Amino acid sequence: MATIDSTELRDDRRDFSRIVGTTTWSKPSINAALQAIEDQWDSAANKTAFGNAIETAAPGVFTNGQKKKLGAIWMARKTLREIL
Amino acid sequence: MATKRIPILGFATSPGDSGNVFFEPADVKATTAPWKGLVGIFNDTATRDGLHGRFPVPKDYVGTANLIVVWTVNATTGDVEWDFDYRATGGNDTESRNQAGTQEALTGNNDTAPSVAFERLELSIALTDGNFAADDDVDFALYRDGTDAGDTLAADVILVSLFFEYNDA
Repeated sequence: MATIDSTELRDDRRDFSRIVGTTTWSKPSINAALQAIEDQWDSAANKTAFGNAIETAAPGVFTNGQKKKLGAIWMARKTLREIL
Repeated sequence: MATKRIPILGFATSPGDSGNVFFEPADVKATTAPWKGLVGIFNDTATRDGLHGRFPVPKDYVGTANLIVVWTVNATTGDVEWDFDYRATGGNDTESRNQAGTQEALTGNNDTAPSVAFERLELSIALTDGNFAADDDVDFALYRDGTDAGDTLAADVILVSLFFEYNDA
């Protein structure tokens, strides 16, 4: 699973602080949480579950690569709505 | 004998070229207070970024030199790592202003976030008394060291003031 680089971690920390306000967590804690989200998203179990759900809904329509992109688009829209 | 403090962020103050240290009005982050005086922002990064400046040593300097860092942050958890490098030069046609390296490099100066966000904090860093003499020019750099594992503050640090503290005769 991919390791998030320090620049991306920095940007994620900053964006999160701007949205949430007062920082009550440490850098190591939020870095670990972000990596855990990355690992979960990229996990074999997660990919299989997403892939199976899409395949059940739309059999033979999307490639595995397209299924992953579709999931990312859905996640971006859902999380942006929750932030706002 | 008295203990004195002089502010040292004068006309020569220059943020580094990383883009991670800069000045902004205080009310950009401290949105409740009405004050718009400039503060120095040291971003939360994984790098070592700083600002540079220069100040004169007062004529009544005797010793007990300290750097006083006054700072705050919109956070209640984590530590910041401050580094301070400097060189004092003095005299008339006796000492070069183009010397390599630092006279003293102080690293690993750790301070903790306030118990309540935005509370004023002071950190005192001891300097070597004998490095300073009255009328010297002191060139310096103040860094936030995001490469140090001790820098655990996941927020942008706000530099409120920077003082040279000393005892007079």
